[in-house]
Amino acid sequence: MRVPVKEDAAGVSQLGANGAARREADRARFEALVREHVDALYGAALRLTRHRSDAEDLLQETLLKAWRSFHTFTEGTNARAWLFRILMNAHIDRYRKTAREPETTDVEDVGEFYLYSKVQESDLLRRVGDPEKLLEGVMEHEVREALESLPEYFRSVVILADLQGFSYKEIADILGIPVGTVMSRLFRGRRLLQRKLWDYVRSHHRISTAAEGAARGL
Amino acid sequence: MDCKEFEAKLWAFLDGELEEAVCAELRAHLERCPGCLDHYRFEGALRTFLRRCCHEPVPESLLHRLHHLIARLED
Repeated sequence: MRVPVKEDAAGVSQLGANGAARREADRARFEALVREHVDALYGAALRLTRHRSDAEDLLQETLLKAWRSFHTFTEGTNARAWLFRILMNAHIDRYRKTAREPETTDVEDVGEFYLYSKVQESDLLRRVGDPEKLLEGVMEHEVREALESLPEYFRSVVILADLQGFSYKEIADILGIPVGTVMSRLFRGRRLLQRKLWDYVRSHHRISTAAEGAARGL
Repeated sequence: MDCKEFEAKLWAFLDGELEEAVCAELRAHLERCPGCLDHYRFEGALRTFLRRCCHEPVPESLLHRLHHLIARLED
């Protein structure tokens, strides 16, 4: 049976209007979600890519990909972990295309709690007073550089755990690796980071060390 | 719990990954051991410091671009 053209046209436009309204509602929900998590995503993107413009590209790509699979996202589930999984996958794709750093980096490991042991050995903590003061001498950009100097697969885990506060299980889900691997990468990443930070702490406190040596007549 | 056992669990403790019974043991050790308490505070301060140094809010210009990107998204 033929439907009269007039009714057909009206029906289509009715459907179109509903579709458009739904699309706008989705878009508003999506934008609210992005707004809530954008600082965290951007912060992670900066440390992952090490460059502002790459971080901005990565963030845009993440949002495009997130929008494409937004219909699979269930309201009330872990939105932050969902967004970070997309971010990490996008980063890994980009990174593999441009990587100059080998997949397995042969980095010398150091002992547990490297920074604290060094601080204790040097007697720095007793002289400076408290850990906050001791760390204050280190510049923000140096801390970022120290983190960015870590090989990629340690850096990702340290960013997700120490900067973003994800649990081991969440990180395992985000990166698609076993929890045991998360822990071993995280602990090794932290040891390497502490070794880097010690170089900065030592260089910043050199003057006060010399001054104290002079005061003691050493 | 001795200092060696405490140190072995320190990072997992700070990460909030241990069961309450184990956390209670660690806290009991902290009350008795000033050395481990110093160490615990140090690792905690380091974490806070790291977060503070890496905190960079999204620049306004980028927020603006993202808003436009979202407005133009197709189905």
